[in-house]
Amino acid sequence: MWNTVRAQNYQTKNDIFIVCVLIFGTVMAFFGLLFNGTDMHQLTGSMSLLILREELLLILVVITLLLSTRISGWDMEDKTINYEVLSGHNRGEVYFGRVITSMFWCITCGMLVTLLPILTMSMINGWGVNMKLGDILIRYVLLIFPLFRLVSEFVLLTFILKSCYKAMLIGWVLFASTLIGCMVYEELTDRIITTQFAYSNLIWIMGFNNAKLEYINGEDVPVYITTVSSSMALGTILVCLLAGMACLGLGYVIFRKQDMN
Amino acid sequence: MPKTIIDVKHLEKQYMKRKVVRDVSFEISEGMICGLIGPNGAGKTTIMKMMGGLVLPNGGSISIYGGTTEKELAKARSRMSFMIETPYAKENMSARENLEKQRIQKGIPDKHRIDEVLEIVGLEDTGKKDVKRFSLGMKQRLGIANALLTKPEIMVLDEPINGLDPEGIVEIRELLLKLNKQEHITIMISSHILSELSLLCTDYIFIHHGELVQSLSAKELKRLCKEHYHIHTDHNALALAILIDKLSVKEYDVEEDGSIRLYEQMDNIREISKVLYENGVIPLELSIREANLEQYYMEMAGEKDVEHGKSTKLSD
Repeated sequence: MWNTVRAQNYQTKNDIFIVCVLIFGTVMAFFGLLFNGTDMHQLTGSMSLLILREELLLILVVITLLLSTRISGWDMEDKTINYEVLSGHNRGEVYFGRVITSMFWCITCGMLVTLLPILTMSMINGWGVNMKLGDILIRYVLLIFPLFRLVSEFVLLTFILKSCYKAMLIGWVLFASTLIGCMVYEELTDRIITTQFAYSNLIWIMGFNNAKLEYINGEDVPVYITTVSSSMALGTILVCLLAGMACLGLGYVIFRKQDMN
Repeated sequence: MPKTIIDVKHLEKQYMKRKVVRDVSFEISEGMICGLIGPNGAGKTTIMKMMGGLVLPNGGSISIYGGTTEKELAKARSRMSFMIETPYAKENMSARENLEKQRIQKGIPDKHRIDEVLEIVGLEDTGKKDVKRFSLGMKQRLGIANALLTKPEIMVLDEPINGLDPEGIVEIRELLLKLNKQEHITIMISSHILSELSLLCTDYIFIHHGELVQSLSAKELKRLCKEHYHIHTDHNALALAILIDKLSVKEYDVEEDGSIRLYEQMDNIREISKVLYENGVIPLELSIREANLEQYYMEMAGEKDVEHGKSTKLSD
């Protein structure tokens, strides 16, 4: 299986599509930073996160969708995946080799792309006082779990459709429908959707909307409540791991019995 | 006695309600070059895919190096290489990059192996050219290069000479013969170019409408195709006894319907006819026949098509 992971890594590093997605994602992340109307000299790391968090989460989901479907499904388009079975790898190695590679690239690259603008502004203007850095770091670590779930869902979709491009399209439609559906539901019922969907979980983790005014350095500054509750952490970890593993298990069962024609 | 390394028993495959492979059994021994022959849609590629694990059989069993479970077969396949249908390759990568990916995936530590196989198949000068700009022949060569990467003990090749020019066909034939003789690689090969198979194979398996029609060695085929009399009388058993007694014939075969194949006394047709008639046997058919692989196959395929209710043109 590790040979499959290494081979997929080699292919991904040489894949111009992946490179373009990451470059485009990074550009879009900085784009939001440059054109939000705030003076760049006053834009701290915490302020940047406040301004960009929804955009960054969207970029994170899009990068996850494009990378996970590409890595797990591109070889099905041109049938090069067949070589792995023909050369003696069992279906489990072929499947989970791709899952591991997708997880690695989506989580590391996705997080890196979305962290870059925040890190850049922190290095220039400091972190700032709007949020506790420690709490944000914990939230970022928690993001790994809904990302794990999201990758699992997209990989399952790819193996059902046997096409990375179809999975990208259907994946986007499902994500957009979920997003709109959640917004409408919350609007109508005044309830917040949390761990029911991967994206809603992402928003819940980065949803620090409650703030109090504090007098810092001679002025009133909104300081957001960013403490992570144990129920939030536990709920996220458990639900995401269970949902993710269920998707991966189902994907494997489907792939194991398929004819690779 | 060569060891049996692939043992296929009662293999079956069905798609929806259509059986594409029916009760196929054969053995491949060490050192063989086995030609799998049949028309389009006969089931040759499906059989190879089942051997490779791409397609799951609905019935029967496959044993490779004695292994029958999924785990054992996967391990056995690591000693084999396959080229099935049009060779698969990443179109936006070069030949070298494609082989590098396969080298990593197969766990081959020696990077120089890529240079070796590219030279063997004549693709060493392709540089950074993407595979999407390769001709069909070049893609076939890349598929063969990939098949050679692991130095396999068995190669299963589905129409490897498709798209190659005449020079390329000769090169691949000589390469396969060399690999068989010098590296002791067992080869299973399918092709439509029967004249090429006849120069290459030590054994043949004929598939038609998903069924195994016949399997025989090249020696047996040569014997069957050798120039002979085909004798059919009103009393075949008596005719044979007369020929043995009066003309001392020794080289003969008796076919399923009782007809006699006589491989000797090819200039003596008058005497044969006279001896039979004088002893009360009426020859209903007495003809001289000879066939090559193509003619043999066409005749056999024609008979099978008649059995299945299809009309077919037979070659002369």
